[in-house]
Amino acid sequence: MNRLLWFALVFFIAAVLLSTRSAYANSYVGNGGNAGDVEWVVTLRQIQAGLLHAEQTKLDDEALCTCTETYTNHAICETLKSLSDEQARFCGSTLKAQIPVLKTLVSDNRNVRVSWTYDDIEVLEDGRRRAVDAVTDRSEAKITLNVPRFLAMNASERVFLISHELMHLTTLNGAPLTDEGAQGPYTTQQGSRQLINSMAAAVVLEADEAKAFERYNGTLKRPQGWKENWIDLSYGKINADPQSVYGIDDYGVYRVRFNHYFSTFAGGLSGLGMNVGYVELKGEKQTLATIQSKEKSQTFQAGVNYRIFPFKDPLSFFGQSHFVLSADVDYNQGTFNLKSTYNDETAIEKRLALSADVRYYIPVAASVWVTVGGSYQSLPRRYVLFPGSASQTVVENRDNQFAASLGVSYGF
Amino acid sequence: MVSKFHSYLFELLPSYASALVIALLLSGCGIGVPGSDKSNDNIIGEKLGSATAMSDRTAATDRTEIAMFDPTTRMIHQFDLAQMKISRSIACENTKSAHSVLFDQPMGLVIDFSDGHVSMTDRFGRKSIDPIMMAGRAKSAAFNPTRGVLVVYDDMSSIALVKFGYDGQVLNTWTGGPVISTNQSMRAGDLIDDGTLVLGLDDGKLVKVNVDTAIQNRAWGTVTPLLTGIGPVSWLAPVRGFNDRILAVTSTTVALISLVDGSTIDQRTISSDETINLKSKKTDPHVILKDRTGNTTVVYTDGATILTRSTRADAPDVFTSRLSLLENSWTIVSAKTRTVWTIGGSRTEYYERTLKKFRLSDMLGSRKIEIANEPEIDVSSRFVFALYPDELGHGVRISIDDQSEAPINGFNAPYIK
Repeated sequence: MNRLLWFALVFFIAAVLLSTRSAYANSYVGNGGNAGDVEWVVTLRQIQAGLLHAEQTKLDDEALCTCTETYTNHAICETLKSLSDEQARFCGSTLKAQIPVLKTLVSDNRNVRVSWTYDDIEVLEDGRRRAVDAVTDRSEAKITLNVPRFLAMNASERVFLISHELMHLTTLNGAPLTDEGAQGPYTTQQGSRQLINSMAAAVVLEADEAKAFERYNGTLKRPQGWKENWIDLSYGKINADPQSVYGIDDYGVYRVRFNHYFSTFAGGLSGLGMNVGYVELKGEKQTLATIQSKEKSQTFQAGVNYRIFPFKDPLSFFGQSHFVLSADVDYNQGTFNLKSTYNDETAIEKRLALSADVRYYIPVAASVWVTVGGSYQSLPRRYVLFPGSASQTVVENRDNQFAASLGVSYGF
Repeated sequence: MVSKFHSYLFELLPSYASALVIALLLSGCGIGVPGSDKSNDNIIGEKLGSATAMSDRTAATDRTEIAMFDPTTRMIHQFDLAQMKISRSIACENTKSAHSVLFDQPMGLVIDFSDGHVSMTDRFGRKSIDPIMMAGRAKSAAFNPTRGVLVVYDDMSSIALVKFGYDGQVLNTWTGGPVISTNQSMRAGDLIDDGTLVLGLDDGKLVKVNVDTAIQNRAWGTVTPLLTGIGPVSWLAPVRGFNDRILAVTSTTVALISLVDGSTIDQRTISSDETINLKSKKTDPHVILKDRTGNTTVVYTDGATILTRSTRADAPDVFTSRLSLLENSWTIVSAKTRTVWTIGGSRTEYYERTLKKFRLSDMLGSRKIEIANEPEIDVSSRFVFALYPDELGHGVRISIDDQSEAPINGFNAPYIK
């Protein structure tokens, strides 16, 4: 037993060490199940709401790039407060001109792709490297985002950032809008960046006026399935059809399990994870007037997980719900006790087995999930009572291998 | 006797105290006084039960195997008490009624009696179903395997005679009624060592029946009664090593009777102050008498005279007794009893069950062992075998010498369905 536990421990530590994020720092297209997918889609919708609001309410160009009282002391407003009237008008008119293109870009996830990375993002400007939160590849209509930094932002900061990046996918006077050079009354070398930032700030203000931030507060607080670590507690039942008269018909199955996923991304190898767990199974039965059968089985498990997000809308409950498939090596120690008025016979069985588990995770609130699932162990539990005597009795349930269970889970 | 005892109490105690004592004596839950053994009266051989005895009056040594009917599995288990294991288990044919068992170890023959049915299983597992026609349920049996003779007596007073072959196969049988000849009915009987069936009749006479002849003639035939002069015999037993005499019990006498002429060779009168507590054929026949002063007397015979030994050792009610002249020992198991009233009836509970072993020659107490109250027990020269009421099956062999215990567990487990 000790050897197996050591094996499980070493396996677990090695898996955690090998699963550093840099190993999964490649680009992933956000289509549900990745860290940041929810925030990405919400941000696009908030931008869309802001653009729509601007289109419908801001007839005056200058009014579009003027800071409102709400944001007077906010960093967002720093950009707008420093604008001259001319710059504000230019900002407003330019933004108005960009709205149709921007609306098209945010109207469908497929129009702009997001690529997630845990690597630092740097851009080369004037021959010098500069750390940034995001970078846009105009040719592929793809925005690359640093996951932790994006998640650490509040909603308005994310709208500002993505609005800024979306501007790079538009054109002004027939030329791509970049961060470099002068634009109209924005005459400095950083003038174009200042214009883009002004328009992005204006989008934030419009989104706020359109109540787009309030609208998605609940959505952003909803549990998200990309979490790396999970603690599962579950209770299940086994309904067996025992061959032996002493075999137990109904078992209660208690399970606690820790799951770790090697990546916060979904799809491909990124869905892989591992688990260690403990399962305790208990059941009892009375035969005739005084014969009591009791079984307690303890199982230590270690194995691999794979999670699948079958639904694509990350903002819905179903979009966050996911399946986890597990395959484990089980070390099992079972104790079967047969007791009557004057008999107290106990058989202990120790063995290795394989098990498979399928579990469906449904988000509830505050990182808490409800899980439903079932598990199957490769070997039936088998006990030999009164061994080596004429009283020898074998208790084996061929149907005691499948357990259906219901549980709660906490993802962090 | 109760009224006499009451008078004695009234002389000693004020009336209200006497009334209280009487009330306690007559109440439902109290310490019982030794009862008169009626269960062994008016039978042939020994009473049949769900388990066979370890003692064997036809052999010099005790059996090392016994057979037992188990009501949970409705099987007969054959126990090897030397190895403490089950030698074999036999499924019973008539699964509805209660069963009693007869077992001969050398022959390996197990006979299963149930209501109106008999089933015999030989050492090879070959079964013979209903070789004997009996309408009732076997109550007692006398078995002489050496002579290949079995006599079974049922609760309808029918007497079945069976002749066996050397390996237990039934050669011939005949069943007759209790009326042996005109106005003479059987009251008690047993087989003596030469295979002759001795019957005590209700007119106080004895008859000797040649079993082979009776079976062949399918009738009791003409038998010559022996007039004993001691009155109707309620219990009789062969005397080991003697084919011409028996130990007989009437309501007033324990007598050694000659089978040559019916004469009384010796006798011990049972006084009015004594009750017969137990009549036992383990291993040598004997009768236990109790008197009001607390004396326990065992009456037996060495074949020449009637002998008695008395002790004042506490032995409230003797339920099992084994006397061996060869081993010079007398072993009894006694207990106190109480009647517990239940809804619609009552039951007798035993408590403070104790085994006591004496050296017969001088009644030196050699062993005293407390025994659990729950199990059915039987006693051999060296062991007590206690069979507990347990659905899975539990028995313990207790050494009389050092009280070490050897259990056998779960013997019903493979057969419970």
